[in-house]
Amino acid sequence: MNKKAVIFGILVISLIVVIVTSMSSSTDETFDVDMTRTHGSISTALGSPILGDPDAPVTIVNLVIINAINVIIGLLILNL
Amino acid sequence: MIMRDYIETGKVNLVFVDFAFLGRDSPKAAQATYCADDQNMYWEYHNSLYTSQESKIDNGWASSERLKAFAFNLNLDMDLFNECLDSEKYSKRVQYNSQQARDNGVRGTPGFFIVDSDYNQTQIGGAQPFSVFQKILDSMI
Repeated sequence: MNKKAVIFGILVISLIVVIVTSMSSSTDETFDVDMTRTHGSISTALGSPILGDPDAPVTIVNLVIINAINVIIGLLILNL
Repeated sequence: MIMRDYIETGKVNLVFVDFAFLGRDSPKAAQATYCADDQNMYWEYHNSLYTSQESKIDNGWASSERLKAFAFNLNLDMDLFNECLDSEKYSKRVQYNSQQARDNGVRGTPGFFIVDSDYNQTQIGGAQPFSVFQKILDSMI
């Protein structure tokens, strides 16, 4: 009887651990994005918000690095 | 002129995809922009970074302390921002974006893809004069 109780207790504790772990990992990195957003062959779902009219017929996808050597950065180019 | 003639007139829109691979500050700076986005200040923070960036890698201009200082100057909620940055909440997001760039053959920045509503796309590598963008944009609109 005691053995059954111990096994049952272990199962319950294991179940609780699994539930808590899954809940904590699912809230690890959550943000409001449209995961289907693509432009051409590029997924921009996790890129910046859209600057300008979202319904504009043409999109410029600017792939930029922050902190690069001698880089001329997007906003400067855009204001040429 | 791209901003004035195309974006502000509704003909074109723009998306930045951060391509963070140089130095330890680069991914952290990209993550910081998304922490600012949590407070609806993505573009303001983005502009602060670009006007403050320096040419040398990892010389401290984008250290965590500086990134937090930029947020402070924009009056962001510092408790939220610090928690976001220190926990690296958006590290996977930045990794994903960098992989997108690699998967599409981008080897350096700035790189541009111009895409129309029919999914035709043209790639422009490096800093090009306005006339190059103008010709492509006008042909797609």
